[in-house]
Amino acid sequence: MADADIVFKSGTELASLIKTRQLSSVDVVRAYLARIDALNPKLNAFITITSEEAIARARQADKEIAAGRYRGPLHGLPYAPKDILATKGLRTTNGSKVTSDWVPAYESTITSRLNKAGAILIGKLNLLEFAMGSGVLSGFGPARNPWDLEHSPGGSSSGSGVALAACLTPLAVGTDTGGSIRVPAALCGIVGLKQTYGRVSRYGVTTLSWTLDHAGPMTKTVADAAMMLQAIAGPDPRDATAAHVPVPDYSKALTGDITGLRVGVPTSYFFDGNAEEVKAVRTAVDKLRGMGAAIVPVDVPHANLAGSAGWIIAMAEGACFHEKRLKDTPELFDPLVRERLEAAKFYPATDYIKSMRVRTILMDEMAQVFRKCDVMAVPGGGPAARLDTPDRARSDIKPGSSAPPFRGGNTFLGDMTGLPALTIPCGFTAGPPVLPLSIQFYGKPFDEATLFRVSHAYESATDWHKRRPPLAAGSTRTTAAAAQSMR
Amino acid sequence: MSADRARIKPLSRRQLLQALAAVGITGPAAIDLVAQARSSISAETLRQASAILGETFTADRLTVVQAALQRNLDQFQIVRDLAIDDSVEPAPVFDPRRR
Repeated sequence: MADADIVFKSGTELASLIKTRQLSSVDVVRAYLARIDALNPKLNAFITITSEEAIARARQADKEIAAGRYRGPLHGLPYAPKDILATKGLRTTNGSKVTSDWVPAYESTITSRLNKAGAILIGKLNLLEFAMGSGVLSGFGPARNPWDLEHSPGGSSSGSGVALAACLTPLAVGTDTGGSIRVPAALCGIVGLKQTYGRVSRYGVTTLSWTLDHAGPMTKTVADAAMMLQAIAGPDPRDATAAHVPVPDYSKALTGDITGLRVGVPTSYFFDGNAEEVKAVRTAVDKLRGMGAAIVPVDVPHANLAGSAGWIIAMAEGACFHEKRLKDTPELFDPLVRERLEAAKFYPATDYIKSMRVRTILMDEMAQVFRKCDVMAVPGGGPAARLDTPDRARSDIKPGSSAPPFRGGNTFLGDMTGLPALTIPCGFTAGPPVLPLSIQFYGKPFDEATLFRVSHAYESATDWHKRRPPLAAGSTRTTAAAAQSMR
Repeated sequence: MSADRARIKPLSRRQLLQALAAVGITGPAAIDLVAQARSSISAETLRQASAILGETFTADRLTVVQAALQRNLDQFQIVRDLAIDDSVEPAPVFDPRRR
């Protein structure tokens, strides 16, 4: 099978071929490494590439499968985590010059579980510094959106979004404190799941905000996200916030049937964004109605506070977490990250606590919403804006513009309430450039299954997820050797 | 609250925007006016506050932080303006189990 035929397949398609030995894990890993070799110089999605180790593990996987020791659908499949997940013995940079040489002595629970399930780490993905910078001036430079190299891929899981959209990996892991899984998913046209707070352990994930951080799957299809969550979900004695809540069989939710499902659509706030995306989301909602869903109006009266209060919490906790590094090596931080963290030192404790009370209000309001519906649909947050110039990326104070109040409630709502949310593509801008548009579904606590049900049904009835960026559409077979390991 | 205190209570950002809208000033122009009307943070204020934090910032850093904080006042204000019922507790994540 040609490399291009391999890398354009979804994770679940590849899993089936590997299980039945129609395709070897080595072939799959080599195909992705060749594609990384060809496209990463333009896209800057990977910070570290683990070619030799990945091929060795793929050989091992092929041997195990041939011997009848198949571990499950992730066995032999490549994956790449955001470089903020600790990997034992492998450099973990957090996208920052501050920690550019850090080699952890421990493994994050997520990568540990993926490795145990037989998945093969092929490298580590670029990000905005410490999950909060601009990306432009971070330690490793910005990842580039394959739909248009001059447009932002979103963040902070920028490399994860880019790598999936350009088919450099079938599976990725991101983290989300204010939207950092869902925004790059929206801007790159892929699937991003921020599951319920507590559903997945954060052990070994570098903190931005203890009370807001999540880590979860980023994939090309909904079925892939379900497959990944199945492997990484569940309690963990090393993370007290990982909840003891049973993990259902998510594959059972992928029925394609949404008859009778109640889809809530907010009547205010959420639909004030980009007109093309709003139109695409309303069209998607009509599609769901046509598939048998009941559309019901809902309201989240204080949604407009989610972004502002979330920002206060995230930056205050971030400033506390980075206190020593900020004191010891402030010059190594991205200027924007430093500005945000130093400013946060002056945030009054009362503002922080009041923001935590806003969380209670939002949680109560979302509980009311979910008395009326099973999922809530809102725009995902696209399309992508142009990448900042280095001059503008240095500060939140943008030359020549009066600063608007912070907005970001469409995604911050999920982190503030801990509720699960999943973003999938639902259209494209007219262009040029042609850029992805997305819809985001919110669900009840620990009810990721219903998010999979509705998004998989929508995905099955549309072809947005099958479109490829021009840069990534053709064959990229290269004669160059696979990228050198940076270990 | 005494009657005198009630009389001098400052208008919230929302109230200011509503008042400006009533005289036909809306959009970015209104936001700029509200920002100008708000008491500003000086670098000197921050220098004194940093002593409370137990930290020392250079004059250059205080200038950067001052600009950042001034910008953030808008988003702080929307939270500060919110009247919350006494019964609403904060929602910190707390778990008594320790590793």
